[in-house]
Amino acid sequence: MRLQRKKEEPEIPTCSMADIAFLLIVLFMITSTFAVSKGILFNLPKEAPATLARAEEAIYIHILEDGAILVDQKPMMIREIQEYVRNKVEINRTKPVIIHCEPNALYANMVDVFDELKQLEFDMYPENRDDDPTNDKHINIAIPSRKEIEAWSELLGGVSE
Amino acid sequence: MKFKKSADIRAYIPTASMADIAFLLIVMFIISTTIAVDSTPVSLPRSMERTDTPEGAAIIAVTSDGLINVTSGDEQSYAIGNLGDIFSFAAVVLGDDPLHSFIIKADSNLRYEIIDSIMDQLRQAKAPNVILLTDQETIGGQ
Repeated sequence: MRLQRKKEEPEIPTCSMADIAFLLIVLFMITSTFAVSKGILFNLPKEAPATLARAEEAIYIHILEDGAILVDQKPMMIREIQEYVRNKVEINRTKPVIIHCEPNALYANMVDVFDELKQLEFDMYPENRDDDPTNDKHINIAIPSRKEIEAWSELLGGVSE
Repeated sequence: MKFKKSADIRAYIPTASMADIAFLLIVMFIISTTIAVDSTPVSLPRSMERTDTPEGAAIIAVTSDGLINVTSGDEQSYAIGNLGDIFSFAAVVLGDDPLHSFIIKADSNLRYEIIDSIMDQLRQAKAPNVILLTDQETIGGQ
């Protein structure tokens, strides 16, 4: 007598695959952070004293210890800097802008001034907003180090004082 | 006239494509996220103008207490004892890749003297650029 065998359909069980996938999603969500960190880009000069040699032609922004700002020796509010610098830089696009921050001033004060100049750069060179790397025009911003300022002061007889 | 009784349709929720959707989400997370190599808690300064930081950039983090953590971008950040060691750290990173970018992640209440020292050492090590990490400034101030 021949026994009749019940035919079984071959199959891969995929019921739990969604569970595994969602478990992986949760793991990724917990262990990683979104890549959204942003900041202000500053190109470090290759030869530091080059800008300082032309300091008398530059716009000189001096941030004092208490956060007060002198632009070309005149006290100025942070919101007035953009207009002042724009008027000067539109006449001469290569005019350097020097940010001299006192050692005991807050880092946030320096970032505020730098941000104002970067906003102005963004307004003046809208073509930089395109992703084309050939559109790379900048305001000539210099942030000399304390050592450079000291060397410069000795050279010019205490201009930074 | 008698209508033919329609065949019974069993009610069910189709779940066959759920795994596909889930794997799609996983791929999205893998692409859009990076593992945080530095989690130093700092209160960043705020700015309106911000550019994206390059992937894998070296980070120099300074807390309001003056504690310094560094990472080349590939490994978890580690503490360094004093400010003067940043030059040697930068020299090692730039030795492998002369165009490596650096990020300064410093507390907004720090004295500028510390940032000046870090930027000076990066300049001496011939770093091409530095990004000052900031939070988004909202209109109308803080």
